[in-house]
Amino acid sequence: MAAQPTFLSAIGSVGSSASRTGEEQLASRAQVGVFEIASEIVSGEPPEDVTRQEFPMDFSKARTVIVLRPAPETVGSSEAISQIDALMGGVEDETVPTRFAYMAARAAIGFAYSPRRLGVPYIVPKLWATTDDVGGIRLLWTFRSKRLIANFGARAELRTYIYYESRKEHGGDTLDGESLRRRLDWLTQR
Amino acid sequence: MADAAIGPNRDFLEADPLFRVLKKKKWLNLDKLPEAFMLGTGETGLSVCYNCRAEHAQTVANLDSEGVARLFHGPVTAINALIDGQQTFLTVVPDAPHHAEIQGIPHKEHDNVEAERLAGELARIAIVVIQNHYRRIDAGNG
Repeated sequence: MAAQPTFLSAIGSVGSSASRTGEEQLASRAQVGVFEIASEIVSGEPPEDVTRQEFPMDFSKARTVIVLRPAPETVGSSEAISQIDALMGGVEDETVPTRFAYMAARAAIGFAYSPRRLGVPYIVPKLWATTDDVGGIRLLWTFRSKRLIANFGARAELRTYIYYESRKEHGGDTLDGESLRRRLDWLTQR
Repeated sequence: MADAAIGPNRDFLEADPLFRVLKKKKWLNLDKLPEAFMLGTGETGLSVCYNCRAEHAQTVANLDSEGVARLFHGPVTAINALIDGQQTFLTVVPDAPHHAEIQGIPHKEHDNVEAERLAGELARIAIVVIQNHYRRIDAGNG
């Protein structure tokens, strides 16, 4: 038990006194984005932009303490993929994506959201899936002052790229699963 | 709307409102508003209505649409744009008594970073002023 993380809720209940089942439930919910990790309770002065943080504490029954608070609207991979799938089925105001764009978007999301490649728990703000006028897919995330766009061209000859923007910087990246995962990390970091 | 009653194309004033008709309901959300300022295929500029009231913009544009965003001429033309490596400013070019194009925005196939940046810049100075489902009137029916 000593090596297990202890989860504290946002209202300050100490996880070490909670049942193992309760901890597992919290951990599970954190992974799907119901909570994000914060440090308000321990530090007293919550860093405004910190979304996940582990810090060692001298608790008798736990070595690592994680404080959880309700996360902003977030989704896991299945919900992200279901948004892309929905476009193929036809969504109001949207062009039906090409199969080329659909396959590329699905593959990139599948890779970038893979639990094996993400820190646990990992918070990804809810994405918005839309299309351009020729059937390319555009995935958009916003988090605080940051904006991230993954643009999947409708055809091979059309551009597929990442665009990122914050108050301090903006730019473009090539788009694949790995680069998208890195930019999602950037999106949620301070 | 009778164009003759409004007058010919004219120079803009800084405070002239420009109205961008929003084709998708989701664009009414501020986080998604930048999407309304991306050029479509074959477009040379962003269509805006002017010399009209916000309430009439959807009728003037006659597009299936869900609302209207308002910008002002001055802030639009103060936005820096990078076209083929050259610093310039966005311009508003009237081509009809109620219709103009915001020019200087590249298509994302030409310069994706600048296209996305400018879309964000325009969204930041835009305000959604009308939320209204409008269906276009085909010629002969209206």
